[in-house]
This record gives sequence, C-alpha cells and structure tokens, in this order.
Amino acid sequence: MSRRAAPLDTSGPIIHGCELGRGFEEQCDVVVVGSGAGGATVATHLAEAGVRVLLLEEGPHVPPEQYQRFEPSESVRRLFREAGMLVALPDRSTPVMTVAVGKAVGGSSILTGGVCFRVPSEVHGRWQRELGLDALSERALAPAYLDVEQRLQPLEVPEALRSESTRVFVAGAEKLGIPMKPIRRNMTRACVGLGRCNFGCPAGAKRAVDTAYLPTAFAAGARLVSDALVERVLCEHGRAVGVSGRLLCGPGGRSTHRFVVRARAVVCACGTLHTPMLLRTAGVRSPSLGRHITVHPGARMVAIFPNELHGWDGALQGAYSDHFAADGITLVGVYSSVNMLAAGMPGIGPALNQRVRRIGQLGVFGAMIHDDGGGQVRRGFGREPMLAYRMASRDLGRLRRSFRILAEIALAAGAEEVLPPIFGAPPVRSSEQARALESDPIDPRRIESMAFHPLGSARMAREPRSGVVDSDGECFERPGLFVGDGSALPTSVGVNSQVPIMTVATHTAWRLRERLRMRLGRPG
Amino acid sequence: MAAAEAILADLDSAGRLSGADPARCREVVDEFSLTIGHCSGTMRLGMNGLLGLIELLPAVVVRRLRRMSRLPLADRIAYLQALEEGRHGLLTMLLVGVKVPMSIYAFERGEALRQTGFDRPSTASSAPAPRGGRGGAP
Repeated sequence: MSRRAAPLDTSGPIIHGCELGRGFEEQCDVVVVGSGAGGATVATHLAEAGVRVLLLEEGPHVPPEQYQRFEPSESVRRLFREAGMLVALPDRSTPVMTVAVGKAVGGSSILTGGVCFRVPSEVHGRWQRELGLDALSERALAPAYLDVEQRLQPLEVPEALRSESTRVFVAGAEKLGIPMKPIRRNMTRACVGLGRCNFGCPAGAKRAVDTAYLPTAFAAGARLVSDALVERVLCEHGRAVGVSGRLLCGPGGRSTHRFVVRARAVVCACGTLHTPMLLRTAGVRSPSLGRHITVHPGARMVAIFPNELHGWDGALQGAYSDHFAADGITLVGVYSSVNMLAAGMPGIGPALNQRVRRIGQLGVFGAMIHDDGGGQVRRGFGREPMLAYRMASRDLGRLRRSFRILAEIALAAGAEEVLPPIFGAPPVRSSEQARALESDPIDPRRIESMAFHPLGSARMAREPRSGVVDSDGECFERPGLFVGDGSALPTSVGVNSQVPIMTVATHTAWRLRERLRMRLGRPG
Repeated sequence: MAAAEAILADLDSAGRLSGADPARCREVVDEFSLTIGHCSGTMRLGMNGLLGLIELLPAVVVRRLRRMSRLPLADRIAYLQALEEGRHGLLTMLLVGVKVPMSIYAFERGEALRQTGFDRPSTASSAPAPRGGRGGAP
C-alpha cells in the first residue's frame, strides 16, 4: 500500500481511478466488483436500500454522450475487452469463436443489441425440478422480472423499424412456413434504427445500465471508481472482508497505485470469465469453479440480393424465430456496421473489394445455439484468463443445421447467392448446396462463429458438490462473498442473457439486503 | 504493411492489379497497432506471433521460398487467399486474425466507406438520410 493512500475524498459519485494520482483505502458496507448488467443491478438495489456501496470497475468511464460519437473501431478499441479480439480456444472439433465482452463502466450492457427475453419456462422448470433451485423458479423470480422490466422498459421493435435486410429474411421464412416474431429491446422511442447498437447507440436510445440503473444508484449514494483492477478478495476468519487491487492508467493498463476496500460483503460481478479468477483468490476451490461455462455459439448468414437493400437503415435486431427452439436453435435478425460487414467478407484484394461494393445488396440474418456447456476458464499467461471451449457434437450439428435453415430462407427470399460462415466455402446458390452445409464433411475450425452470452462459471446449486454459490448467490466456501453476474446462472438459458442476469442479480441483491438488515440493523 | 497492401489491393480502371494507396495502408497499420496497444500483454504477444507466422509461411502454403513481404503483389494476394481458403482451419484463423481488424479501419472512412454504398458521411452519423415509404420511429 502506498504511503500516500487515504480515503476517497471526492465531490461526485464517479471517480476516474487513472486521474486519482494516488492509492486509497476505503470502507463501505458492500463492495461490488464490476459495473455491468449484474454489478450495476446489485449496486442499485443495495444503494436504494440505504446500504453504503462502492463499485469498482476495471474499465474506463466513458459517458454516453462520448461513446455515442465513436466510430466502430474506436468503440472496439476503448469499450471491448482485448479490443474485441478475445477468442475461445478450441479443440479440433470446435470452431474458433470470438467472444465479445465489454470492459467499461456499464460492461457489456452498453454493447448489446438490447434484446430482452425472460428465461424460457422450460429452463426455469429444469432449474427447479432437476437442480432443486426453488428460489429460481419462474414464480419465485416473477417480482424480480417485473422490477427489471420496469427499469429497462423494453419495447417491441415495430415493423416500421425493421431493416430491409430483416424484411427479406422474414418474407423468406414465411414462404417456408417459419413464423417470425418481433423482438423486444430496452430501447426508448428515440430509436430511429441506426443499426449499430453493439458499438454504443449514436442516438442515445438504448437503456443500458449506465442510463437505466447507475444514475439511480448514484442518486442513492453509491460511488464508483473506474480503472480499478481488483486483484484479490481479502478474507479474515474464513470470511470475505474486502478487496485489494491497483488503479490502471494508459492504453495498456499500466499499474499505478494500489487500493484496499474493506466491506461487510463482497459481490463479484466482473463477468463469467473473470469472476472465477477473483473467487480463487479468496480460496474458493470448488471443482465447479470456472467450469461448465455455457455460451450461445452463433453465426450470421450473409446473402447477396439482386436489389439494393440498404440494410443499415433499421434496427440492428428486429425479428426472431423460436420455431426451432426444441432443437436448440433460435433465429435472430441481425445487422452490423458496414465496415464490420466489409471486414467479414471473403476474399483478398480485388475479390474482397468486389464484394464490398455490393454491401448495399446484403441481407444478414443470424442463428444462436442453446449449448451444452463445454467452456472452462483458466488462468492465462498474463492477467487475462483464457477460455477453452469444447463444442459438443450435438451443438456442432445444431450450428450446421442453422446454416442450412438460414441459407434456405435466404434463397426462398430471392437471394442470388449466400455466403456461408465457413472460410473458403463457395457461395451457395441452390437448395442442394444449402443442404450440403449441414451434411458435407468440414474442419470445424473453418467455421466463422461467435460465442455470445458466456454464463455459469460459478453456478448456483443446492449444495456445494454441485456448484459454487447457493441460491442467494453466496459462496458455499466463503461467507460474505457473493456472485452477482452471469457466472451464477446454473445452465444455458437459450436466450439473450441481459434480462436473465439482471433478474438473478436482483434476486441476489434482495437476499443480500435482507442479510445486511439482520446484521446491521439498518433499514432496507 | 505488406499484408495491408495485398488485402486492400484492387483493380485499376484498366483492369490491372494495383496495390492499395500507401498512405491508406499506413493509416490502417497505425490504427491496427494502436488497437493492439490497448490489449493485454498476452494478446500483443499472440498477435506478434501471428504476424510472424504469416510472414514466414509462404514456403509451406504456396511453396515459395520467400517471406510474405518480399513476394510480388499478385503472389502475396494468392498466398493470403490460399491461407483463407485452405482446408486447415488454423491457417485460416491466422489470416482472419489480421485481415478482419485491418479491414474494419480500412472501410470505415472516406472513399472506402462510400465504396460500400453507405449513404451517410460517417458510421457514427446519428441522422439517417430520409427515405420514402418508411414509417419512422413510433
């Protein structure tokens, strides 16, 4: 600890750690590590209950009015962990998947499409029946769902905001008897369909946690330190009593000054990849820790249509289909910034440029797989952990089936050719070629895929042999240490994870509030 | 720089192969380096290793005993294309790890952005051009 360390003495709720110029020592009731969908939710509920909360965020604080003006490359560089180049290390039977995770105040929530789904009833049923987690039943979580939805105010994307890209795919799906539904997103009526929610909404129309939660938390007295990397959970007499770490500065995150925060409870909410690393520093040794990680492997199908679609005009995500949900496949409309689409086009030199000139004619639709949980997070060579992922053969089959379905939809919609997400694969122009996407032998590592919504690295369980935390989110092995992010979700949810994470975090916050009320005798 | 020149090469008005504008390549490489600088030490190490492999693999992939940066432009394009289309997924990933981040910057601004058909001054523009027949926001 630096000799110059002292309590935080600031006039506002947000402290830029890299500008502090010294270390600090601080005390509070609850220290929350991470300010994403989970951490912001927990912090807000506790602060509203009168609990003294300090949030610590490794990433920078970039205010919405600033990131709204970022071009995608700057957004990737400044708001994404590892500049968006994080990959899950595969085995021979698994595609190489990029993992997009946010690293800024607001976490990944400022970089999502804002899709809002509740956990499907059958998944809740499994949690209750097979895992014995009555606290996570649909009925038990109903008040938490309501609270989340009151704050996010999700709206259905109206048909007027669907892009032409989405429209042609919806039309193609209808020809094949595949129903599509409108998506609900945490957008305001200020959304004008700029199609780039995943780099920070330029119109400020997304109700991410930095607008839907954190201002409330700050108004209730919570404080936040950005650029603060937590390295250890401090424990005394077997109980978590605080955290320590260092402030980061500069593009590479150089270490500057150290800090210590003492608290009556510690909430780890630094994401599925980093929470296990932090729990290990507290001596948590559960065999489930860092294992059984589920992701939603996803892919997008790009199709070239004979006419201009200008798919960038419209909501990034406007429609979806759960027609194949029983087979673990969800179809989701998706688009991206044109330079991102250009970067993903096949070809080098003239071949690439030739395709880039046709981006206005592109239709894009995606698919997401409800996976079996083959991820494991390990300590990396530096401070970043490594995610290894082994895709179950069933899931690989589902992914390839989704390619066939999407290609058939595109062809039914009138696409001239479909560019499958398989490096080096020829364009698809017929139903027969579409079927081959599912059946022909292929090196899985040639598949272009993304891993969305990593969950479950410190999962909830009824007993210590099955998981890391109890149904209140507290570690079995370390009292006073809670998990408040997607790490705690016990299985894959099969839908976008924002609302599920916030709902379980709300439940955890309410339980923690009750415990603190009992211990502290404070109102709550 | 040599990889950027090949990835962004195009045909000129006479249909001849033409390397990308050196100033544009320099800008792309600078942006790429800046981005890598924001990553962890492990990622920086990995990206440097990846670039090194791409530089050294022509002998294996296209049986040319030269470093990638010393291949003539047409051969460089053929080599990178062979990496992308190769049957071995790991070789493909070598290329993708460089091509995608470089292309993100390459097509983000100016004439390259207009080449995509995008009808706004910038990818960060918050006002779309008015279109007929659209209902707009409710």
